[in-house]
Amino acid sequence: MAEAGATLFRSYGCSGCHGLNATVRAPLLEGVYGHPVPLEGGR
Amino acid sequence: MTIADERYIRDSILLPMSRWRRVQAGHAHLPGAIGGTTCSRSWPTSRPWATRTRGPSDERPSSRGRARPAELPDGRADVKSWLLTPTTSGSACSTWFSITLFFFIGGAAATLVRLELMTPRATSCSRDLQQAVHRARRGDGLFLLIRRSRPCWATPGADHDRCPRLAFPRSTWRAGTSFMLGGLFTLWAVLSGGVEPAGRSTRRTAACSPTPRSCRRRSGCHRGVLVDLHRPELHRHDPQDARPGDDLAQAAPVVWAMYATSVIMILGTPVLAVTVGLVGLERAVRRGDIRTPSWGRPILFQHLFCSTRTRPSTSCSCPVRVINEIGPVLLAAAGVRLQGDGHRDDGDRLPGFLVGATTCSSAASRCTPAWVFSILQLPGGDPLGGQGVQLDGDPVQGSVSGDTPMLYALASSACSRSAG
Repeated sequence: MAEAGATLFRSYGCSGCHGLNATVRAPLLEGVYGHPVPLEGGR
Repeated sequence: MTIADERYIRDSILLPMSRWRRVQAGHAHLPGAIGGTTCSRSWPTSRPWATRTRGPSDERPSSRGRARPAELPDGRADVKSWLLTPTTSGSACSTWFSITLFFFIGGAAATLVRLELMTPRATSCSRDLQQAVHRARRGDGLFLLIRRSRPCWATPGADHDRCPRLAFPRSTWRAGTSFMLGGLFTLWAVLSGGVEPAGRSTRRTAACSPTPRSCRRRSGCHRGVLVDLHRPELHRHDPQDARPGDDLAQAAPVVWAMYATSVIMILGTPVLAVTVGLVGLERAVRRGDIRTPSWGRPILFQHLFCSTRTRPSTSCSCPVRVINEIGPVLLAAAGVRLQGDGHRDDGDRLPGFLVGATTCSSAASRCTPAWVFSILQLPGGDPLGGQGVQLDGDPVQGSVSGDTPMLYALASSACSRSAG
């Protein structure tokens, strides 16, 4: 399941911005599950 | 703060603006690029330790076991939906098609010119055509300043990991500076009413060879202006060479390409300059990036400058990128709303054939024949057996590839060379 998700994550281009080796600045997806994340405006 | 559960992840991808009100600061959202089913299947990436049972709403992958690329948002597949699609994948396909089409146009033009030159007793416009072609060649200096992309499948022996870089080569400051100089050169050419590159290099060109008698008669052959950008007609120093109807309407396609590309460069130069200034300001105040609440479009920043973490100001030299990015904004400001399903920003409403592919960071790996075949669902499917679809690696420098007019110009330039 995880490998399938990772494949989709790459094949759909998500990793280009949201992967560990992303070349652009965007929130990382990996490891975000279950962790607190900030909302806009610091909420 | 909130806990990133499945609902959060789903909504951050699909509905980042509605439920969570921009779920994360600076989030460069591209909602709708993938569907909800795909989103669900991607969740395990964010929690590799988790297990999940397949629900009834889960869509199975394609019969070949591969995930299909995102389809058009409205599920339509007619010509209008392709031309007006606001999606990245649709834009990529449209651009791929248009590039191919324009290359064929350029090749056909080259063939016609060659046939024209091979004709012993050419038509009355032969000499004009030749002169137009050779004068247009003078504009190669502009085109040479533009870096073009190379598709991976057209690069023998290319490592797939390097494919994105081949398709979207990282521009350097030298390339950016060259582009700026080229734009300024073009602007100067317009304001001055034409460019006259007199000199020895002009004399020894092949421009005179197809018409030796004319050249011998015309002492000013070497002083020929390539194209008078100020007037819609081919510039001629010698009135004896003027012919009725010798205007732009009868000019060769290369001349049209020259005009079109020059206009694009002229329009793109100041926009690019302003954007460079914005980025310089942004870097000066050390904000790190252009944030969504500030200037609204981090994707714009990425598209314009191939934003990287290490070199955020690396510039893309292709001015069409600028036009493609500013175009939707201008259209939105003018109240023009093109087709869309509301899943992207209003500024992204631009016909796919103008967008010039593709904002998706994996576009380079997608734009393979296999991917095109798969998304078009052509009979026979993937000719490469899927090998060209899945490229492991995280591209990419840039995102928007606005090469269509540039490739057209390059093809036209090649046309002029073949004619020489």
